[in-house]
Amino acid sequence: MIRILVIAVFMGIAPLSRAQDATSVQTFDEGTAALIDGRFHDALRAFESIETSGWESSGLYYNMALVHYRLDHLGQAIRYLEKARALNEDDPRILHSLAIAGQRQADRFSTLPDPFWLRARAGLVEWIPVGTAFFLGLVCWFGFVGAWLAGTVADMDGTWWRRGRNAALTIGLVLIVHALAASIWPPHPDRSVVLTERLVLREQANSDAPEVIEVHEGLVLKVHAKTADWRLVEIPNGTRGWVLRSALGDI
Amino acid sequence: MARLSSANHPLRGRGSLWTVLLLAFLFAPEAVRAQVDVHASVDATTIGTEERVSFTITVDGSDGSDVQMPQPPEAEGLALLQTIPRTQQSVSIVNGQMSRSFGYSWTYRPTAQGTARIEATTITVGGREYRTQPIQIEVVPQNQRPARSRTVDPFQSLRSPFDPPANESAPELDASDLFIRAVPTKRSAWQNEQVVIEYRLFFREGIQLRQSRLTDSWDAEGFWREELDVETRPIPRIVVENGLRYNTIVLKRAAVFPTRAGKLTVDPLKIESEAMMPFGSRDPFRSLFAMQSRFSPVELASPEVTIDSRPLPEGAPDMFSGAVGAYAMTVKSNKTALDVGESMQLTVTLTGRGNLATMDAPTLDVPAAFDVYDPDVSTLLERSGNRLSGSKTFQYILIPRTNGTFEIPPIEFSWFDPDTDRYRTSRSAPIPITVTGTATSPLSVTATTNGLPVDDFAPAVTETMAWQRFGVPPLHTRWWVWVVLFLPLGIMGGAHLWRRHQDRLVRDPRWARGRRAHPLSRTHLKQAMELLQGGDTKGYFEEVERAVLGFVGNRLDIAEKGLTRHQLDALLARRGASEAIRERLRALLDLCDRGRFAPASFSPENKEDAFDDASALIPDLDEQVST
Repeated sequence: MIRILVIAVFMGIAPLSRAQDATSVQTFDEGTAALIDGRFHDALRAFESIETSGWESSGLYYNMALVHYRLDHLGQAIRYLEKARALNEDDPRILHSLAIAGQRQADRFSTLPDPFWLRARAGLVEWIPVGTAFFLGLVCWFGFVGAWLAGTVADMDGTWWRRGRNAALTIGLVLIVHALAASIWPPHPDRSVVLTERLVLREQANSDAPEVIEVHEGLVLKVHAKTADWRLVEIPNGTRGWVLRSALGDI
Repeated sequence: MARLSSANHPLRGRGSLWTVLLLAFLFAPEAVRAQVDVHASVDATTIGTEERVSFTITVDGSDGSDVQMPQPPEAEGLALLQTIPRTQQSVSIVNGQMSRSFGYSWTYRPTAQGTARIEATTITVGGREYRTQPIQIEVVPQNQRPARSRTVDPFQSLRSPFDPPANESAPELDASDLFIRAVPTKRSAWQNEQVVIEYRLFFREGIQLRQSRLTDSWDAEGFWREELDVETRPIPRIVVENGLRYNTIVLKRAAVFPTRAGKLTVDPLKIESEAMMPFGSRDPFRSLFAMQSRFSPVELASPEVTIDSRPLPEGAPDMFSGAVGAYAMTVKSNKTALDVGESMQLTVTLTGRGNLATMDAPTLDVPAAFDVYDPDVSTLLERSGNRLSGSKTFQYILIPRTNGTFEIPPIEFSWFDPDTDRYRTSRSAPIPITVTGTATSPLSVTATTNGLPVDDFAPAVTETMAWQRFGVPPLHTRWWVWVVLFLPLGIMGGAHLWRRHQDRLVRDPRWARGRRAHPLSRTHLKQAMELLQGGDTKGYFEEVERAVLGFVGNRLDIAEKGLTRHQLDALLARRGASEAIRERLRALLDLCDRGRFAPASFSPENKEDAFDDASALIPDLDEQVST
């Protein structure tokens, strides 16, 4: 009975999911046509409706960036280009357009390199993504559990059996710990883009606090801490300061 | 000095053109009289005790017909030599403009050494009274008198031939005869504010100049400077300075703009010339032959001009780029609808007074879809006035690269207004632009090697992309992750316990029988109930008895079959069963015996009592009987 219920649920959800996907594709095409026709506001409305429905793709984000660029919203353009790059980091169109948008960005900061351990972690996460690591770790973990149960219940035993079981346990635990650690402490902190023409970083989360530095629209910032209205951000050269949340767009 | 003028403006006011013309006709003589100027002057302000001084009242703009002869002014330390004044009338036509003047002149002689004074007097011209100012004259001993630089009497031609000849000694120039005065419009100015410096040459009447030229040494370090126009053939204007009549012309007029704050100095203006000092003799032959010899070279220099330049105040708008003055901005677009690739002109014109030459173009922030080329800048400076003014035009060429409806955002220009000491900003209206047509593919010269435009975004993505859900919570926040991780641990724990249980069942038969007691009893009771429901009363009671005795046998680890009731009771007593529970057991066994052998004596309710008693008795025995 339970088995039938589970199958029924999956069979019911799957068509819904495909229907949502089809709606997004159709709206995306309408928005793209509006973009090509120069009806930027119509295009933006269409793309935003897809985004609101919870679907994303690098193409959607790229076209949203293009619309914002045409509407002279440099900060939003860079924000959506970064979102598109996160989904498809090797797309030459995205990289090219990011370079073009960067030329219009007023700030020119030298970039402070991350510590080597952060880079190593980022490289590891890039090499074995969180989902992959968790899946493989789970396979090893279940393999170990199965082998243990077989030994316990069916009295299966032997040197190589035990070695294989222990190897599966070790590999599985490493992969699962890696996946969970990367999920809890991402190697890349949250990033945001300055959406206002000018933005002042302050020493404290207070509008009256002394100014640290002024940055301009389109600058990508690392977010290190959050309160309800303020964000502790770091600009590329390592300078940190508090800014109002409303002036930023999350990537 | 005495310089009075009267200005009447009968044409001022509203009215039709005819009214204006009529009034102009009716009041034309009055308008002419309105141009009257009255000067009072002396021929020298320092004289010797043996010399004389001539006091003259000159009425410019009058032929004398409307002038009432004035009374000679009272004098202190001077004695009037004649009460009837000499008169002079002159008419001159210069550049087609006729000018007339009329004058009265009296001669005084000093009565004592010291400071003498000619008091003010009144003259009536055209029914209007003009009053002169008093003039002071220093009377020095005759041997200390200054060289008379000028002996020409303005009304020399009216002098009587019997008058004694004037001093005919060789004239010498002094600083008061010929000098340059630098007159700035202000001595303290804001940085980059316009200051106009006018250089005027003053020379006493009768002095002739020739071969005059400006030297090249004039400089204004720390200033941006612009020359203003002056007349190339200036007509000397007569002014009275310190009671002396001078001719004056404008040599140079320059607008200077301090480029930094602080005390800034403008160099003196220097001229080199040759000046002739007339003898004043009426002997034409003597004057004719002495003419060449009396020109002598002179060098004149104005004083330095120091300007206190103040830094601009705080609070400048963001768009402020240093402009100071008074400006207006206009922004025009020659098109508001065009095709992709077609050009349009956006013209920004700044008009006003100030340093237009160094003015930067206002910031133009057009949509990124437009190519913007460097503006064509043209500057038109108006140098003929007393201040530098003009306009500066920035002409931008914009070419849309894509279609759509765009808006040229407002253009802002900020400047500092020194008249109000405030920053001002002019803001244009936004200009909507509609671009139609389709963008052509990038040309080879404007495309990268992979076909992307060199200075624009890549075209829109049109192909189907991989869609995915976003906003998925991180791995560690999903409940099922922890379930699939820890559920195997639970399974392993369960398996471990099961394994231990199985091992004990094998290793410990007594414990195993004890563990089986309950399940076996439950099985028998279940079968008994099925038999009862099937109508098999005898089998029912047999199964009930088997359930109870089987439990007791398993619990006591004995073979219950073959035991008498008495032996069973004794065993239970030894194992701690109370008398009451043993009595309940005996009663139940008796009941079962009766049921097996006389089943008809039981009602259906009584039959089930045996089941209930057995179900209650077994747990009680389990509690009291130790293994």
